[in-house]
Amino acid sequence: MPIDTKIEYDAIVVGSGITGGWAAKELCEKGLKVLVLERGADIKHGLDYQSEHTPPWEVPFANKSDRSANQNDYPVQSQSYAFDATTKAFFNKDSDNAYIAAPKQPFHWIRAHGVGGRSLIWGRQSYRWSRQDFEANARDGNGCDWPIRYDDIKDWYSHVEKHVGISGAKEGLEQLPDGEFLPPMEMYAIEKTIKARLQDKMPQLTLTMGRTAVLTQHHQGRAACHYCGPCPRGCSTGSYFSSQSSTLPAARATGNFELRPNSVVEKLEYDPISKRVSAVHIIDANSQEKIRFISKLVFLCASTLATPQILLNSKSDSFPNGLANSSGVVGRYLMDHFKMQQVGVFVDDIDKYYKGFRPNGTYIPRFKNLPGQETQNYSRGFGMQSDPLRPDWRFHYNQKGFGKKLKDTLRKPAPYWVWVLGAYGECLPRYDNRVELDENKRDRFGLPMAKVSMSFGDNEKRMAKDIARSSQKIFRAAGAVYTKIDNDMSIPGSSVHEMGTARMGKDPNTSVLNRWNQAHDVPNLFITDGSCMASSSCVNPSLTYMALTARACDYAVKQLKSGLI
Amino acid sequence: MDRRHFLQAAVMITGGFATRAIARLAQSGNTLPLPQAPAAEQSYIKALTEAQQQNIAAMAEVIIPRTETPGAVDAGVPSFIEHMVAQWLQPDEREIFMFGLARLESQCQRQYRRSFSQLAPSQQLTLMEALEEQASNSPWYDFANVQRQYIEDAPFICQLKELVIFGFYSSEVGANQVLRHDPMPMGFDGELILSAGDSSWSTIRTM
Repeated sequence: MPIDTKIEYDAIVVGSGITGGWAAKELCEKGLKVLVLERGADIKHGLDYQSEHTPPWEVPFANKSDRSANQNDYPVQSQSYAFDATTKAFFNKDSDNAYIAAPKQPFHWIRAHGVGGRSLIWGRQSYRWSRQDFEANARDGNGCDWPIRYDDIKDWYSHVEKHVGISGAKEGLEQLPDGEFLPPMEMYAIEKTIKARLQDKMPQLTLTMGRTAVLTQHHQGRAACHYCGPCPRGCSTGSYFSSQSSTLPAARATGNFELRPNSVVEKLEYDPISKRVSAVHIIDANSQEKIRFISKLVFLCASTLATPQILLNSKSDSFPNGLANSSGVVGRYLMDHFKMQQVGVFVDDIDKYYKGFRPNGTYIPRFKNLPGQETQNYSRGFGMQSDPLRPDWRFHYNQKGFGKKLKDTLRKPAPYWVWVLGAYGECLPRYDNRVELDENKRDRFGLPMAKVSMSFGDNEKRMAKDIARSSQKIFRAAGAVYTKIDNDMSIPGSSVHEMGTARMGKDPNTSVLNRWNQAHDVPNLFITDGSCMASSSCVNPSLTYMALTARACDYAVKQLKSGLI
Repeated sequence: MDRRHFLQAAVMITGGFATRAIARLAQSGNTLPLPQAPAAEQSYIKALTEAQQQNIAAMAEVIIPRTETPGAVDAGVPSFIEHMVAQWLQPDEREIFMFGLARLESQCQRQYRRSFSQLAPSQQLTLMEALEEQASNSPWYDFANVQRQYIEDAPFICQLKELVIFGFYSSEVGANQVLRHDPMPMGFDGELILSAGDSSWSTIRTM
């Protein structure tokens, strides 16, 4: 029997990442007593950023990948661009927390393991969805219609942006709405050159400074970015948004906040009489003790794969297929943006260099399949993120020669710029892409493992062809002297934009959540992580998760206070 | 970055009470509240004989010599290589490395009746150039073949060059005196003038 706690919380939030942190902040600030359950260990702001400013000579093995250790313990996480010796403490140890990918369907579940979740290691790009994005399902019939539109969320975007601090430039584009921005970061000379050429030769494109949750000026007690470079090591000046730097301190300041790390949620308990979630069952990751917490509200912010895992493991007579799953779609319609990466070489501005390690690139918003344009042979669209790179010794150490000349060549920047163009393509929601439980395979807590089956469909493949063609055109217009066009699409999951496994919708028979991120089946259960998404747009999703979370919290508290929940 | 530089940078970033508290703590001889990873040097272990160490040092210096700036030996590269050979290379790779090292040494003994480390610089260079010539078909030399972890069957000379170069340009000496090291830029300038003699920034992965 689990240990029963005596306290009744107003709300329990499962997960302390980007959305869990937001739920904690909003609910605490509205006066609720909140418990946040985090399965990973505690990571304290500043104090636990062990390698934050570690210089290259103190990084083990000169930061060459520790191959056998990574293969044993981090075979999936080590594929992430943000993973290295200095950041691995923030990542999930795959050998401890395994999952299953269906045969011939590789899937990368890039997963954090600690307080703050992926907010410590995220890419920080922050874009609003457009009107077109929320209307897309209704227009082309893929997925179920969103129960909300842009106007329902736009004030909530402003609400979260003002707290987060997003630097970026206003462009007045319908397909990429402007937000509440801090001043944008500066461009490299080569980016200005490319921007001018694109304006001239491809005026239908916009190249704008990346909109990022990194501060360009002091903001809400957090310091402006000092441009040291490797953000995913953690930032003790709080210059980028993380739960640690931003939402958890705000929650803590209310006096209503309690955080319990090392708390693996086993299941939610459902009371058929009150028709509510009545308790959250956890396993303490250290002591293996089972504990039961009670609460009036439950917010699942555990992530797109972990949230359905919890729901599917919460079976009862009322919900034999898993909690809030009368529709049967929990775990289904899993999406992730597919990514393609192209390289262009430029010999312009080679007498210009840079100072400071800018943790941000530039962005080309979607420019295909917009209203009024010709229709492509695929639906939806893609956006492109780009980064200039001035190759140093790490990119040409494998050359012939010895001595003074070699030393001097390796010392200097290469006489060219590389402009890396990465496209994120929208992924359609498809029934067969799913996460389910494998009851025969159990993890170290005795819980059934998640089994993921996902592949990209024909629409994505047609779009990928256009991305390759468009990249070549952009490089040509921008003046590249050499290009490398790669037709490969990323492995599902590896863009770390997975979403859709407990989607919002108007119809309780085909969706899990209503327009307030409230479970159709269970009025005191809210899900605001990526699971809630009914489509994927092509922009990075975190900002939208934040806005939806804040909006859902506002609604939930009003419902609670008026006695409806 | 040493403690003094960190503190200067920290003062610039945050100012105010927190930094003064950190400064007081540092002056009192306590450890900083921001701990750092253990220095690689502290974990170096010995895996080579003294003669092998001397040969490695001589080879490293052929690859990256002391010029008007410090060279591989000044930067501590030989002990870095020993550490990498012992701790980082996979068994098959270590075998290639140790065999290559032994074969070069026996060639020196046969040809000159001396150890590699005792040869004249021009003789050392000739021997290493010959090794590179023999290895020239290795994919290690393929243009832009650097976005990978390690070439498992790379010949000895390629292994050696890779380890020397990574060790040198990641070292404190290499980063500060050959490259430019700027841990706290405090801003971004995308149009900094690059003069013909200017070095790259030292390796800080940008994300």
